[in-house]
Amino acid sequence: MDKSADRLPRYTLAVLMHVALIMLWYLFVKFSDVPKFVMPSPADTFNSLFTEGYDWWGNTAVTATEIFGGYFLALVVGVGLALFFTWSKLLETAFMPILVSLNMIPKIALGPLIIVWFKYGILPNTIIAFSICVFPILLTTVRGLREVEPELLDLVRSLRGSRWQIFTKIQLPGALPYIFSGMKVAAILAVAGAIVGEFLGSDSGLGYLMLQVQVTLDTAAMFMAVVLITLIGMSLYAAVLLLEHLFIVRDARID
Amino acid sequence: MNDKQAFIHLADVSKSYQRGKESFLAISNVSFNVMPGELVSLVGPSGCGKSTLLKILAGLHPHDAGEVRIGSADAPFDPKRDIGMVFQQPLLLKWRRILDNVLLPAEILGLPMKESRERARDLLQLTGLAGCEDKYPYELSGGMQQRASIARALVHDPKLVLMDEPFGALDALTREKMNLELLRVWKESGKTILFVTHGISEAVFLGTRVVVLTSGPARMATTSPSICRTRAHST
Repeated sequence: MDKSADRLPRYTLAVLMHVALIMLWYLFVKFSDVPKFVMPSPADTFNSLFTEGYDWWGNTAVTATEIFGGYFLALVVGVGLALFFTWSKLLETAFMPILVSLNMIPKIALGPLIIVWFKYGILPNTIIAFSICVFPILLTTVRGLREVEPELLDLVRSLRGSRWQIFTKIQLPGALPYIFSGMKVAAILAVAGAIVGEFLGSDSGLGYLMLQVQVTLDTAAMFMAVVLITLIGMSLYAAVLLLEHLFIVRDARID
Repeated sequence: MNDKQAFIHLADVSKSYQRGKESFLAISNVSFNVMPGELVSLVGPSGCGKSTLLKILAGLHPHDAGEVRIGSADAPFDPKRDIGMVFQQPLLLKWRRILDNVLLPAEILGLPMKESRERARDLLQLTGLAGCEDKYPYELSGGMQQRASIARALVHDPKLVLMDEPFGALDALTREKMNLELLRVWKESGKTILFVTHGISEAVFLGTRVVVLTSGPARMATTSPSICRTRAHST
């Protein structure tokens, strides 16, 4: 049980620190001679939301679709492949070295290729986001599925338990905390993947918008785009934390 | 002691392992009997092959030579249902509450859940964990976790309980207490228990008989005569 007495001050402090950071930003811009196109104030940044023609809503929706889509796809494929690979020792021995090698490829470097293969737009950016966050999920899931106490297996085998029972009662629930630790890493990477895709070639999304407003030196709008991208990432991360909180017993969580 | 009446009958049991290219002998010509309802201590130095012997009895490893028989005409033995195991670590599933942890063997064997749940509650009572049913393992001390793992070993009502240094990871005071508790549980449940330990005093204190094995490969050093502690006696 959490000590709710320390929780309130802790959350208050966290909110206060965020407000303080924005205040610092505000004061810095107000009392220094930095031109607006180098460093806009918090108010300028917020006001850029009302600039005509930027289609904030539409661009945010596109970027969010790419991030969430790529992430969800990576979750399904990553966990699915991990289950497949760990089902038998042979599959695992055959495929794990390949996976480790593939994981070493800087996924960002695949961006131009993916755009050649899938044209430009939401699909290739989703695929870039997918390719960058599938490996952490896959590798942590494999690790979690392997991490079973040998004596626990002895216990189940002494009862002549089946492979399927070992999997559903011991392996899979035991791997869940690992899956979540991979999901947390992947949540941060998915955002980077989608934005890189938009930088490389795209006709919509917040990354695309940033390149557009960069030309006109609308730095406030660039700031706003970064803020919105961060918010999308934070909401994804928060959703993962919430699920982890619901499904994983405190003692079993892995940070 | 009559071999026919023995619940466990081991005669000249040997077992060797392949370690790389060399084969090394873990158990050599071990013979002893365990009568129904006995608590026999198996004592020997660390790494002498005591655990291997338990694994052979649990049907997890085959033996190479000799005779291994469990069960007798009076007490038939079902290798699937009649073994409960307790290890040095409690090995509770972190994500399950204590009651659900205790129920694991019943689930694996597909026993009727309603009765098993009743039984699990009774066993938690017996092992001194009443009120802990809905707690998670991390909320319990090491000794209490080990009590839960003993309850788990009994939930499917096995005839034989194999214990592999179950109190080895506990502090001295808790261990003494758990020894007394185990004697109580043994008397109340009427199980045949084979208790592996490397502590001689623990072995002597707990066992109705003590089987002493030599350092690896495990060979019979001696078997103590039956100590006068039967279920009728109090300790």
